[in-house]
Amino acid sequence: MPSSFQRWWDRLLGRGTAAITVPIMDGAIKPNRALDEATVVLELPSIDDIASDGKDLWLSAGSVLFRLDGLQALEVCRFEVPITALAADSNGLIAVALGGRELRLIDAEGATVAQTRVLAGRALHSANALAFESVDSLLVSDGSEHYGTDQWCHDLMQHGKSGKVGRWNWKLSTTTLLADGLGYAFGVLADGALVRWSESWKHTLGSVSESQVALPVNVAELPGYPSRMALAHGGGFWLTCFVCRTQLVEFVLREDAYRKRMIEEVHPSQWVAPALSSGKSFLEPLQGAGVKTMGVLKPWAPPRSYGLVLRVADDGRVISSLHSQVDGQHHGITAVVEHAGDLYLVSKGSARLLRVKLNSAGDVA
Amino acid sequence: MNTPQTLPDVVLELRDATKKYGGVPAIENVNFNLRRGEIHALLGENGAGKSTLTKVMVGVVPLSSGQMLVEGKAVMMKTPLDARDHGIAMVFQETGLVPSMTVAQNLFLGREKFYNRLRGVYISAQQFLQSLNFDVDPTVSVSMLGAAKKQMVEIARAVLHDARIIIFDEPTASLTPEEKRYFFDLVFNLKSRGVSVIFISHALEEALLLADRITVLRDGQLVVTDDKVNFDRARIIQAMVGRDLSQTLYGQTKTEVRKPGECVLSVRNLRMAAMVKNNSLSVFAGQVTGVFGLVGSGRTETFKVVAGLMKRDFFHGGEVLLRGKPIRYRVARQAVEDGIAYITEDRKVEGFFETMSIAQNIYMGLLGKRGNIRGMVSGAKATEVGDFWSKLLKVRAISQDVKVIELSGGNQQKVVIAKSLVQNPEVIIFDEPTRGVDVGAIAEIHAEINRLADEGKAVVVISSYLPEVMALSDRILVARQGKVVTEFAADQATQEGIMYAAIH
Repeated sequence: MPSSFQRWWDRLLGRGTAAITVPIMDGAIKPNRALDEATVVLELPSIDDIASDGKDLWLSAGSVLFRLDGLQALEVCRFEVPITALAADSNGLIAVALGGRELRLIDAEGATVAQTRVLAGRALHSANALAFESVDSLLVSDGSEHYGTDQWCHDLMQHGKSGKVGRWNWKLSTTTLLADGLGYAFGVLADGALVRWSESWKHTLGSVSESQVALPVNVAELPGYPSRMALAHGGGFWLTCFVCRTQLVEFVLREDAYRKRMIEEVHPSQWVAPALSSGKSFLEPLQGAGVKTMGVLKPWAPPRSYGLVLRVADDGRVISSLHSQVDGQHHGITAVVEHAGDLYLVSKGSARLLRVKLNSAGDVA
Repeated sequence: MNTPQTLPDVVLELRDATKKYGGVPAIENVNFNLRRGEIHALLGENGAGKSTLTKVMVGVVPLSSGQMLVEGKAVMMKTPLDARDHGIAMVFQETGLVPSMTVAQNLFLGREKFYNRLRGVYISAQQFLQSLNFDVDPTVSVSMLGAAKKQMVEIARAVLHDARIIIFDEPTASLTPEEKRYFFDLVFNLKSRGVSVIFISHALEEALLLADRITVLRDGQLVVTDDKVNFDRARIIQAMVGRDLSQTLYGQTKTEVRKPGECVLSVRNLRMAAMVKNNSLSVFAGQVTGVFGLVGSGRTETFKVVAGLMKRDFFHGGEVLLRGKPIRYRVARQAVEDGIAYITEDRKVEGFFETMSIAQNIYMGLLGKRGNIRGMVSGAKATEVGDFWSKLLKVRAISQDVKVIELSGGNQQKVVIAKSLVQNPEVIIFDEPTRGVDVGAIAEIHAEINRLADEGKAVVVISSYLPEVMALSDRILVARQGKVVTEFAADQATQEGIMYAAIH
């Protein structure tokens, strides 16, 4: 069957590529309340990313870089634009992405070591995740060439495919493109000889080997939009899903005319779209069973916002998960890192830093 | 025969009633009584003995021992006709009406005069239905009626036959909420006329709403009979499932839970008419996934769609993914080719060729998978395959040439299982694998299911018997009203928790 006819047929019958379905959260992704029961370390407005250098824990919130000292966040330095991504290595270097358009390498006192604004000859626009790959190279994911990091929802609604992942070697002053044309790249990870990245709008992860050979996707389609990652000391890695999928949003994403009018006529905060947090305004769209009934929001209602972190094995299997369900409050998890035997998580939706105890196997105690 | 003393106003009584099938008691020493004009709910899990008890009452099966009294007089029901003569009628879940005949003809079926004038029959039926305040047109063919109206006709027929005791088997299973309300009114109407009603139901809220008294059966024994006011949901569930585990076959608690492998099968937002409603689930390799639910919860239909035996909704029917790839089968053979085996719950109708031998039946499974291009069937190969699987599954028969219909239920089931396993499937769906199977064979079938999971196959066990699900499964999915509503890890599941999820 010709592909255009197949597409028309699928669209007519709601099949194939036009099937409005989402993967179920069962098995290892069965909902729990682990994120809601996590210890709240501190509340920090605009908190976004977190990184560990093995000794200290670094936080970014707005345009300020913080260091965690016990239960307090100490300001280390302040930039002129918001920090959109953060990474730290054991040699005392810290990498920040500023306004999504610049990568800057600084030392522990805040002095600039190196900086760049391009990736393989193209300007950075929405750098949203960083990871040190070696002593002289840094991995970066650039979500979109059209929208800034705060406008990720615009990119989703426009079916953005301009994300890219690259490597910056600051000693050689070279940049290499590892993947291009991605449906919002949001998260990179140096995992041994592999470079992994999240492709949010495709709900999956990609990877490339040391010899820069793209590897087949071995992570099943996820029930959420994947974002930043961190290595797990027990093997595999932690993966955050900053928002979750619903059938209603999947439907809206297929209705081009509706979406176009919605973008033109409705304020973004009231779009039928996922969000990092919800329930603060009665003007939010009523999303399926997400509407409160008799004053009660059911935990299993379709989520406008949700908290989800997955523990993924090296072979791509999800082996455990932490959740903050629809009626929870720790939604919009954008970053995760292991530090001193604990798991630290950034809930951007609730502007909180969370901590979860890990057991000896590296899983949630 | 001496007339024993009985309680006043008791219209039906069973004393020490026992019914055995092949030495195995289906009900044992049951003492039950039904009062005049009372609504009596009979509750219990599938296999608890409710159907046997009611079949005894209406003379479908005779008692092995014990006594039955109607209006204080000991009676011996040999046929349903005897029961009817004693004023006892039963309304089955699937009505016993003749669909091609009109309502009036059905009403008077078996009571026809020598000469019948159709107009007269219609007038009599109209008068009678109006006297019951039943809004049913007597001239309409029964096939045109909805489920509730069919129930009405059944009830009317029972009243017409002077039934003083009416037994309903799952009367509301196929009714819409509006029809249910209408049905409840009918039952109260019958009660006001002095008719005694026994109704079997899985819906506890209906029992608590309708009944004057509630009896709970478990494993063929009467656990409790009490007034409705002394029951609440929790007490009923406790009585239904709280068996002494040490005395059952499934007593062993699952201590070792297998870890999930690859997600082999993923069902997403599946829809199929009114039976499956936006159902989603995953099945993992190397695990037994148990699916529990009451009758009508859409479990079987979901997996029949997976196996290509039923069709999902034409528009927006959802997706089924096998190892991440969408599948949609026009015929079941395509599913077999892809390594999906569905082992039916109704082996006598769908499971085997009854006049063929064990070996031939098993060989048919192999032919179904590979096809025989040359049209040649190898008798030697059939014997070889039959011998191998008969030994592996311990099929007990005098020889491999015995017809399957001549085997016991357990051995028939083993042949049905072998017929699918010979295809070397990767996903094996067992639907009620031990229904009507003797105790020895149950253990062997369970061992085979565990062996398959240990080999890394993705195994699904659909069962209405809670202890079986709990003994076998590594994870338990609970279905209700057409979709999976919750999931339990085997080491965290409790009977009460599962039953609560299945009902609420």
